[in-house]
Amino acid sequence: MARVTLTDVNKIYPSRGETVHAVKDLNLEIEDGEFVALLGPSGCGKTSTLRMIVGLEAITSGEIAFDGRRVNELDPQRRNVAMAFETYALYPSFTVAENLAFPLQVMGLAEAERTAKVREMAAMLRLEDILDQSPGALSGGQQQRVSLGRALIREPAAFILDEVMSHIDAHLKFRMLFDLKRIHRDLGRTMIYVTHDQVEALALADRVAVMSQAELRQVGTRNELYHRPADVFVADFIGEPPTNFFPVCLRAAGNGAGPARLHVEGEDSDLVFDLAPARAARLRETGAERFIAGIRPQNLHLAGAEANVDVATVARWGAAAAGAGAGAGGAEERAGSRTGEVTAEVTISEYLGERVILTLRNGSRVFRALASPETRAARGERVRLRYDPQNVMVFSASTEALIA
Amino acid sequence: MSDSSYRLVRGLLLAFLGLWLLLTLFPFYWQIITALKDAAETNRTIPTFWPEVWHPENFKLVFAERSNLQALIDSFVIATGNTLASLVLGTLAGYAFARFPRQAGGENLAFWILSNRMFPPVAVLVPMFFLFDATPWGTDSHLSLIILYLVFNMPLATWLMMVFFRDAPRELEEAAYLDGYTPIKAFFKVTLPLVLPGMISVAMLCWIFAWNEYLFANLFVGTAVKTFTIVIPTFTHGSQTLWNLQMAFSLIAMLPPLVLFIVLRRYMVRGLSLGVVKG
Ligand SMILES: Nc1ncnc2c1ncn2[C@@H]1O[C@H](COP(=O)(O)OP(=O)(O)OP(=O)(O)O)[C@@H](O)[C@H]1O
Ligand SMILES: [Mg+2]
Repeated sequence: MARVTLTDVNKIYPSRGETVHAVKDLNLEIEDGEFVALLGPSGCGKTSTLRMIVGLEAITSGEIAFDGRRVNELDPQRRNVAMAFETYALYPSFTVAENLAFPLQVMGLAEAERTAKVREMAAMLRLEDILDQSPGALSGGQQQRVSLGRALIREPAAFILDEVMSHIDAHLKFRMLFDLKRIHRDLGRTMIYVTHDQVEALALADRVAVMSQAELRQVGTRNELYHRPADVFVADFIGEPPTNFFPVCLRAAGNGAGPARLHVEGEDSDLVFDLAPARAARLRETGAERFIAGIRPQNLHLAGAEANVDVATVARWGAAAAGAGAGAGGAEERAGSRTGEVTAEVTISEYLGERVILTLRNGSRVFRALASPETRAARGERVRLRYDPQNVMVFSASTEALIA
Repeated sequence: MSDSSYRLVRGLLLAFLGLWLLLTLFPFYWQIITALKDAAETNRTIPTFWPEVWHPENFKLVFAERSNLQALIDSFVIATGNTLASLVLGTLAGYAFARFPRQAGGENLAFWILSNRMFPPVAVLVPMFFLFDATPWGTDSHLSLIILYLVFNMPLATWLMMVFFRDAPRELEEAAYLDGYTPIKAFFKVTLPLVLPGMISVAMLCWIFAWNEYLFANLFVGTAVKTFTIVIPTFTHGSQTLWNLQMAFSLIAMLPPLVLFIVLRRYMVRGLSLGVVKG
């Protein structure tokens, strides 16, 4: 059982004359028994962070504590953590069963108990048929499951799992995510799960920590990340398809106190997004004129005959907008919002079964919207898109942080 | 390519291989038949290509001189002692260079160690003699050659072991740490088994070098200790050379490396390809 606290943690690798700053001023608190996913693109420092937590890599500066006790100087074998490696790290001279049993053997568990646990783990990870094989004879996905099993077979203070499902097919992954979640619930141990796949992170974790370029961008629940992304990176990284971004400039209508509008920059583009007055005020407080506006494809809805929407869909938008509004806070803001509208020409229509991704163009601006599979909008057609102004996210053009 | 020219190329190739085989195997053939002749037959002006009378007892006669057997034993002790020392030092140093390059002095130090092997040994022959002469055990001892051969074998062992350790994934050791192994235990139980084939091939290279060495042995030892390499020339007495006994003795001396190679062949091939094919 452990609460893991990282305080101002830095990792700098010396590397042939120059240095690589792999983790920058990382602050993160993981509650005892919590399931936290560390999400970020390749090379952002996820593995480096894990390696410092388990004690395989020296901490350049900062402090890591388990249950408030500093562990910086503690050897990995004394930290009582189990880790599954990105590279599997299976012992090549052992069979699968021996690999799984290894941590138990080191602990000094009796043979019978070991065998029972190995059986149980093998059943869960569907490894029963290959228990007697050596790791060299296995496929990547099989090796990965053995490596995951070897980490999960113990009951340490914390589980550290580094990209343990990157080579597992979608079908099996679905079941394994479920099993992993169940293990976490049964054991109640802290789990830190590294991945670059947002689906895994959002499916498993209580909270997700998003990293990019050695820095922690945001920590939060899936709702917080989706509806209140801290900056452009998080808004872009979380959600599929990614958020549409536009460079915009703020113009007041009338005397400056009324509703403000965001004009998308670009010569031949006539895109304009409406803003609620309270949010406009927040933008004006910054003193800046230029911003980055973001709106998710899910929040752009076809209007009119092309949409072919039913009443239920409209009701769903309402609910989504209400959810977002609750995050942003401010009842008056919600009261002041009405539906906004933009027009654009359809350039690509991708049919993906349960939904259609429309790629749209307005002047030189290209963006995407989701539509229902029954949509009649065709290539070359000019369509109207409705949105709730609550769903327009505005970021600072200089720091890329969320403003409103 | 037409069928006939294909056959021509193939024929030429076979002829070349046959010729090459003849050239390389002829000395062995000559060695064997000489070892089986009597002394008179070996000294004929017109040599015989097949022994007229077979004398397999030559192989026993060689050991009438008791010191000849002792020389083989001495060589064995020196080669084995040196191999063990090279392996221990080379494995430890190689591990340090592979895992802690910065702390261990880096690539430059590793290369400097290897470069010792490129130095022409003759250049230091005489200084080495005086150096070892000043030690308590002197030059004429097993220990002197065991230590001296480290100059050649340890750099090789260090460098090769370094390459093997680099190829052995570090994560395996790290996984063992997390499962509760100490670094020492992880080294012996996890990493060492991985490089064992490599270690065996390094051992063979070291052993064969030490077994065959003549130049330094000739100068250093000869009274209390004799290696077989310095015994072989002693079959010449004045103007007469006992070719048959000399050949019989050298054939016997060829056996240990041959047996070693046959027994360890499997590891040798795997060890030498360790760096090439990754698991
Ligand atoms: N031992 C090392 N020496 C030097 N640089 C390193 C070392 N390990 C990692 N780095 C660098 O640190 C940065 C972060 O690496 P890290 O392995 O933590 O990324 P990651 O987020 O786990 O990426 P991935 O998703 O590809 O596994 C990278 O730029 C990498 O090149
Ligand atoms: Mg990684």
